[in-house]
Amino acid sequence: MDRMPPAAAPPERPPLLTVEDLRMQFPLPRTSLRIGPRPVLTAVDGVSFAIRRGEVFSLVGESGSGKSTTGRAILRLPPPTAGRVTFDGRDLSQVRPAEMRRLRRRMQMIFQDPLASLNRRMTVDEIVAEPMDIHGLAAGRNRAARVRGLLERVGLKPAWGNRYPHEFSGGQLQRVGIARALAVEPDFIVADEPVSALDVSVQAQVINLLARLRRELGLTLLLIAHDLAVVRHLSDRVAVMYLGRLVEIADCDTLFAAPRHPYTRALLSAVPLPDPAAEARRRPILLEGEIPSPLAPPSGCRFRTRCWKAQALCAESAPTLRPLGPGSAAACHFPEPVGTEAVSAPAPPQPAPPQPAPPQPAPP
Amino acid sequence: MTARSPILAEIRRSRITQAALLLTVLYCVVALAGPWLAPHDPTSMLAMPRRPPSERFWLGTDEIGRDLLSRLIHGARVAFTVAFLATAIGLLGGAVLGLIAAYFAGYIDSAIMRTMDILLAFPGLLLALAIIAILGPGLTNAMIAIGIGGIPEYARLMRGEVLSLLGRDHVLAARAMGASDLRVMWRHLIPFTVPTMLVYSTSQLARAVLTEAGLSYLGLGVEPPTASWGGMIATGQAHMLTTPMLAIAPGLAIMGLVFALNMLGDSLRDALDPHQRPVVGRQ
Ligand SMILES: Nc1ncnc2c1ncn2[C@@H]1O[C@H](COP(=O)(O)OP(=O)(O)O)[C@@H](O)[C@H]1O
Ligand SMILES: [Mg+2]
Repeated sequence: MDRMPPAAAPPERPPLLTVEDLRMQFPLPRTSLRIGPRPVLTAVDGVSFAIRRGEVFSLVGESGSGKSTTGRAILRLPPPTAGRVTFDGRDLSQVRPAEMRRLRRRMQMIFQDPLASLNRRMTVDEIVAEPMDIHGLAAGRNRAARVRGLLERVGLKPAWGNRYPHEFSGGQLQRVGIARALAVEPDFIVADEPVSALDVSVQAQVINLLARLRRELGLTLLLIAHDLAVVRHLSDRVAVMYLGRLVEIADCDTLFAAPRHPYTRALLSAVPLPDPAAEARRRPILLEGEIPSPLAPPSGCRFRTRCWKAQALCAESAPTLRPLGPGSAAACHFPEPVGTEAVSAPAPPQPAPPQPAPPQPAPP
Repeated sequence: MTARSPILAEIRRSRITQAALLLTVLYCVVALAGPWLAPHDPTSMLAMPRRPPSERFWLGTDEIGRDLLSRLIHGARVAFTVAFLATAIGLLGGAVLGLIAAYFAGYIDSAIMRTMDILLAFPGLLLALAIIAILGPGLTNAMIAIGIGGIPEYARLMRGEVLSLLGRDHVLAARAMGASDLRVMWRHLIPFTVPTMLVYSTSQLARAVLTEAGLSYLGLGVEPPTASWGGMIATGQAHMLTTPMLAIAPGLAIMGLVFALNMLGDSLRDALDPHQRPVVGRQ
């Protein structure tokens, strides 16, 4: 489903990273003395995609949809419950622990909360040098020079290297986090909401930094975000996640121009538009209710409890991700037609729309 | 310690902390400089038994004519040595076990923590008695016994600290970098447990002083003729009606030190309590 390059694409190289049917379950502590199996929370349920070399692949969705869990499971932090992750041709579940530690040089991570992700008892120099120390990449003068170069590269003054994290602003800290991720010249970076903890004014700077680094270094990025505006600038392709499943994957432009899944459309309708005329026409689709509990997901299509198009079929069978056009695939029984303008609200509900089954109440 | 030490701030703020600190330092000086401070040899019989205080013997002499003050001063050395080394044994043993239990989880965790639970089921002095029954009496064994008795509490505390740290992003980041288990523990876990463990150790010092006194009182700690406060109370109490000083002086010495150490522990906790730090929220 991801093999849908534009017609004139160059001969395809194998993807750098493939994720097949990834599943992550968390056994929860028993809530009572009741006998029986422990409740299990399925945070990620059968997610598949592939990321090409040099590509920025984004994962978007509401908070709690399983994006972070997916990103971490790919890096085996912790390893997924089921499914296969192949990095540069190697099935990561088959890699021995010692070899996996070495492989981690090539896969790095950028975190949502930069302060929490940095060891506050280490100086910035020590933080940035640590991955190089771990992988024995540089020592002595060479090491110091590399740290200086990295700090400059992310727009920090090398002289700040002997300061501690609490002396920096959020944006600066995120730059430190980025420098740390770059220190080992990785092939692949998971950036988990790299700007969502930052002030809006700073967000753009960090996004621009990522865009520049991507250009200069040819980074392959899994960019996680709950804000589509962040994604638009940077991504080649976008996957939309809802309650542990992918509901749509498309080339970035295609997705923004012609969303096929109702959920994608709802998400897009919430993004303010730069063009005043278009912005005036924009009518946000307000989704009713909350995202259901992953402990008791709805039957069939997981989005049906909040979908204005839901029919009886949606409660019966779960739609699978299927190609709907060049560079676009969605998991919906009744996908939006291509011409649908992303910015307008749906037609008012029909007189008697078939009611979807009521959402299952979460267990007490 | 991080910059702008909260400990210094607490000392500046609180009179009680200052008093506790002063008293503790005083005891430390006495313990360290004991041999030079003591006016007489603590184990020689220099005069008639149970003399009242005089120019030569400031606190009088004990039941066999040794200088009471000199014995008190030497007793401080014993109390401190035992307290510090026993606390160190408990801290190191407990921290290592708690760290391993939390980090490796599963069966290792269960095995370690169930053993700790069994040890915890004994009251402190009883456990020390049991260990001394195995090792035999004496200063070193008393130290080891008190130290081992402290291990379970340290282990529990350390395990809890490490478990809460393991979920933090900076630990995840270290793992994502490919850090070895040892590096994760040494650089990203242990430094963050120091304040809590330090605070608890200070309060354990007082308990170790009391346990040592208890063991020596029972004749299972420091062996005579070496001076120890517990032992002095034990021999002094026979003369409670005629020469109450013999038991009261070492009793007061113990009380003062335990009081000072406890106050210091409380102040340290107020200053360093890691649970009062704000937790940065995330989605
Ligand atoms: N370690 C965990 N234990 C139990 N539940 C978890 C754990 N991590 C995540 N979850 C649950 O999995 C779901 C997805 O979480 P997450 O991947 O963080 O979502 P997102 O990053 O999209 O906001 C949430 O319901 C969350 O509560
Ligand atoms: Mg997240």
